[in-house]
Amino acid sequence: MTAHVSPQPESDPQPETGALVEADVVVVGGGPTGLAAAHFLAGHGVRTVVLEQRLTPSGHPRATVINSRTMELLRHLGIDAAVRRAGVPLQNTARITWCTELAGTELAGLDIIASADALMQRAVNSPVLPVICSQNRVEALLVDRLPDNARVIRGVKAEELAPTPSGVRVTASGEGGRPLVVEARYAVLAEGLHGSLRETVGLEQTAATPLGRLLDIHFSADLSPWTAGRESALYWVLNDTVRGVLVTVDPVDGEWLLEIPALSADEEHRYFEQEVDHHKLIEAAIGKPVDAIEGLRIHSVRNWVMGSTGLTSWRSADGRVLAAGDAAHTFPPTGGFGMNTGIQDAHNLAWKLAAVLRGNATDALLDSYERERRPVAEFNARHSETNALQKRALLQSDADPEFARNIEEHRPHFDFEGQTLGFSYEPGPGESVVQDVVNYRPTAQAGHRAPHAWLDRDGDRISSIDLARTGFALLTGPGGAVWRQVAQETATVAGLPLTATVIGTAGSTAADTAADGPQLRDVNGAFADSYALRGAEAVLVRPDGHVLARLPGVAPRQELAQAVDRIVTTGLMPARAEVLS
Amino acid sequence: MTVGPLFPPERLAALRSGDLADVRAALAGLPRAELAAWLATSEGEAVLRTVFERMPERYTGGPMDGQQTARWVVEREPAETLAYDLVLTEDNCEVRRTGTSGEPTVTLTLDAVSFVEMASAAAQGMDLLLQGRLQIQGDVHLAVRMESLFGLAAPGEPG
Repeated sequence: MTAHVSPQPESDPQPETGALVEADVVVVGGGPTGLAAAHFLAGHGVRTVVLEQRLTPSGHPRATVINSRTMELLRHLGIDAAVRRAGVPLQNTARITWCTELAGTELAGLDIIASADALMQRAVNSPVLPVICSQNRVEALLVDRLPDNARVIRGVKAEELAPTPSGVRVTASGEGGRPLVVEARYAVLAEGLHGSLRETVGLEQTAATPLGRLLDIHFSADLSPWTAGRESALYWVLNDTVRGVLVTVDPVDGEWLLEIPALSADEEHRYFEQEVDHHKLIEAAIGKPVDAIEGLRIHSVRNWVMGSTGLTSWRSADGRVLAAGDAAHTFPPTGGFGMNTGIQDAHNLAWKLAAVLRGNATDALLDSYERERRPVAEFNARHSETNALQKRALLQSDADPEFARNIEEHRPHFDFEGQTLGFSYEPGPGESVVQDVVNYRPTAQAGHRAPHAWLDRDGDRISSIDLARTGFALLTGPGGAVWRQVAQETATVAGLPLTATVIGTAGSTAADTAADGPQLRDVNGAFADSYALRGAEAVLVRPDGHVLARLPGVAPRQELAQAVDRIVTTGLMPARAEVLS
Repeated sequence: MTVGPLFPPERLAALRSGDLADVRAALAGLPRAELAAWLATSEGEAVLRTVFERMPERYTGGPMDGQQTARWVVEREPAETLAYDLVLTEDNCEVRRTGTSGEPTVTLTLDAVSFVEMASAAAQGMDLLLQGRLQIQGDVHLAVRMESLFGLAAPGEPG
């Protein structure tokens, strides 16, 4: 006999194996993508169960970059401050250094935030900054803050995924026990590159030619004698013994990752086909003997193949299974887009699943997930591959005085605000999902992330991106008061809450605020500039923060109905040039 | 003279105390507009000047490429702006009137409420900057070190 168990908070005891757990969505894989999916789904009231094979998060840092967009999503989950505290202080990440050894000659440097102006510009683009924080720390924080209607079951391996009349059944095995069965309406496979369930539901893997194998050494040591005064996110080292990169994981406690790509057949043999003295490699990267490196301790060593992989389809033929994160795409680590793309996949998918589960949108809405996310993932893959090839060439070049000459050409590898914040969904014909990798230009056109602007409410600052975190939001200027009435009449869109906010101009004061007047004030004109609203025009923002449509406000009810009808029945965003009337 | 709100004696004493925890407690729950109005009074000005005068006591110092000047510009409309230069070396901090120490290495401009929040570690400079409340000009590397130089990391943040 099987016992029925409702999802419980993560801290509750694990269910007995042999139990049947019911949920709205089962997520296979408790890495960053799976955990983020649980958070975002739970935020929309979707009961979610995550199955994870590991009993504890991996101690190996793996990914380390949390880009601005992901930090915005973590901010909405209320864990951005904790991630920032767990990460590397800004002053340790604002630079990239190339040197012969850490204690040797500096060959070149690239300032990512070179000036006060550059920092102020970043502050204009987002209410958060990117952070270097290792994947294992982010995972621990995501688990720690999981809401009540999401639950992680650890130590179970999902082995079988079968259809049921109303969804899916995942059978998992625990250590020495009877199987655990989870029945849900949908499954999200966030099982990583090596998971086994995708193939069983017809999601076939594709793989580009690998770009080589990497050796990762995770270690602790006090490297401050050689980093003080030139603290960097990455220290690339080029010498006769080691050509690789020293990644800053925690400079305060002295935690590092040495990544060494095999650049030739000889190196493949040296690193992966014979006994390797990892201490010697660290010694060569630092340029000091082991006994001169205080506190040196190797935690773990990993080797892995660098390359891009994908899936022929991100959704099973019966529509009940969707892949996300590394299960759908992997890239070389150069650029740090892997974990970020996965978390952002989950964010795109969560509100769509919530809308469909509530019965307020057709199943076709879920097709827009792959249609929107695949081009972004493919762009990130191509960019990461280009970065990897460029870095490989740079590591093979001579460590001579000429080295620094073209270093600025490598900026898009490390400085990519345009890619991070500027990607768009379903761009126009012939347009790329990213227009400019380095420079972000705010725009509130359909498909783009609704830009950030600080808004004032009685002295408190609220970001415009905060207005659509749990539902749809209409953002309009002083001429758009009619939208408040419309939102009151239409309390939900696709089953999710709809709000309308009238934003006053930068010069307005509290005294200008009548009962039906602006609720928030544009602090410095950034809202007016980036949203460029005319008259009664409004921007309709989706729960994932992307603009669904610009509504002229001529026939507001009809315009809203038309935009909503299109998204809930087809998942299609109104074409950018299309005028809704 | 600008007339501001009247604060109870305990709150005033806490704001004047220079003790970070007491100042943070005094700020808790105080509407921003009310504190801004009070900081524009002569009483508020006195507290702001005291904060500056006591900054050397909190200076922990650190590696410094020679002598550096950090200029703080504290706006308190409608009253006059307050500005001081903090002249920093590896182990010393001196508070001077502006214009007596040459061009500043970095200038930090912020409203008086944000200044009190930052000086008491009730808010982090980076948060204030991201909220558009703090502007910096000049050497960004010195600017982002400011809190660690004065032991002003938020509770729980690495110093």
